[in-house]
Amino acid sequence: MGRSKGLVVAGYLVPAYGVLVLFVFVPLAALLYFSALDNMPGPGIVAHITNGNYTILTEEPLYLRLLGKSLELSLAVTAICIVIGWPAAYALAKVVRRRRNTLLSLVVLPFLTSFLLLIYAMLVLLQPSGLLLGPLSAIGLIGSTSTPLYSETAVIIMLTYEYLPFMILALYASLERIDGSVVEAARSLGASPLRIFRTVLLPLSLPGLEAGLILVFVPAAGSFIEPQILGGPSGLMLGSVINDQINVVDDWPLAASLSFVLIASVLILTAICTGVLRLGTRLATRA
Amino acid sequence: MAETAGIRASRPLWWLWLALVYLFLFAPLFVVALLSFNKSPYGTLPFHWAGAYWYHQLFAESDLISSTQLSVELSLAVAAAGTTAGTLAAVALTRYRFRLRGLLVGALPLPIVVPWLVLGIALLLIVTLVGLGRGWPALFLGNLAVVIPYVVIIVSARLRDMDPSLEEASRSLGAGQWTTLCRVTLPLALPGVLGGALMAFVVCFNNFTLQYFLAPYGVETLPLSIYNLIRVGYRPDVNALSTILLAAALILLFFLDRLSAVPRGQRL
Repeated sequence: MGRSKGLVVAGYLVPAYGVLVLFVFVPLAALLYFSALDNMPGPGIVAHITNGNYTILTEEPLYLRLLGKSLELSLAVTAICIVIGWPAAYALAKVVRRRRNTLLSLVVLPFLTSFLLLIYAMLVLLQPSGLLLGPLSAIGLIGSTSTPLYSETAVIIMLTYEYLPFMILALYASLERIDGSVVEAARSLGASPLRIFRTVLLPLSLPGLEAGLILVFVPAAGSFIEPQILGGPSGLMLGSVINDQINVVDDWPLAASLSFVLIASVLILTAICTGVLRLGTRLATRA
Repeated sequence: MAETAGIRASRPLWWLWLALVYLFLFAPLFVVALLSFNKSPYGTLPFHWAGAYWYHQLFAESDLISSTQLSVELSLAVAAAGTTAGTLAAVALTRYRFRLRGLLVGALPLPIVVPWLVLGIALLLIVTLVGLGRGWPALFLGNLAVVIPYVVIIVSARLRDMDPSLEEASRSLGAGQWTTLCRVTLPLALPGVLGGALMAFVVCFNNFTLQYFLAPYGVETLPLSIYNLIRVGYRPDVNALSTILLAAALILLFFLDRLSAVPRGQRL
């Protein structure tokens, strides 16, 4: 590539990537710096380096417990999204023929409205005497005041509702690419549907599963409004506490260290889960 | 695609599953839309038609018009800047081969995927450190960073689907880089660029989390107003607001669809 062409490419890239570097990568990296301070630096305030924002994690068990719960809940949500989303994505990719584009576009619709409205809609749907639970209690299926609201269950339902579209789209992208004749060949050679799933469809959908894992697990682990509005005391997640450090307690360095710990554990767990997905797929293929 | 006998036999089951999934995705929104026309202020049955009563209440009581206006202004500015920067980057990533290309493409999803809570806090800390603090510049730049990847991904998809021979013809007839870009590439890529712009607008308009951490104190964009409304719990006028925004989303979806910019897990 000639020098002038190189300059042109650089010129095209600088505005976008300049913004990304300055306002995404640098701030995220700076979290580590802030998390090691004893105070937020400012006019007249000198901050010192400390490890206090990390040792507090071992002294105060609440933080680690909430971290564990955030990871556990978002892993559960990811698993549920895979179980519900895989057949849906397969149906969209290989079963539906007419109206496929309309159906695919509808999956995106919730994403185009504010997720606050999705939270509100779920809050309305799960009202004890509302349109869904009211009739159920009227016929005696559930107690008149029972609702999953203000519990872990409500948070799981909410996050599944919010992130299922992402999982479906990620799986659709990989399932749609599968050549129908591969499946047909397996079938004509006498493979059972289960065997076709294990040895053909599942391995070929692995890229979609990996993308879905990242698109669902990572953002879900950082949820803070959903638990705050629907979770009640038992549905609290680490994100809510991080938010409190900024907006209530005013301990910004602790918010930075908790954010950093959250991101680091999410990254490690994503890597582990990707490995598990690959291994599981390989084992399923061989078994 | 050849349809297999197995799929034909199990077709109703697949459709049933899809129907249940769509029911799950749309029942909550549908219930809210229905209740926005119900007389009861507590959302209780039996259903009594209330007409546009709650819609009147919504605009009579709250300051939503001014916060909507702020959101539109912010999102227009962010979408304009994001579309310009993102389109140029998409041209470079799809029309040129260079070292680091893989790295740059790989880094794109990060601002979309990283929990916006963490990104919001990281941005708040850094703008405070440099003395800028919460405010319009921080709000604009943070949202800009998040919308750029969407624009790059949507515009790149369009650029990749275009026939490269037209641009080659332009160059071989003596047009320079810039002329070819402005007179050939961009006009052909226009649907993708418009789709990217629309997507950028929507993402910025709805980005509660970044606005929550970066908006100037005392300033309410629409998502911040909605947050303050829904914290209270059930509100019949919020049902009306949700229904309006849902209708707006449906219209947007129609246009995004026409521009084939609906995200479908495309890759670069």
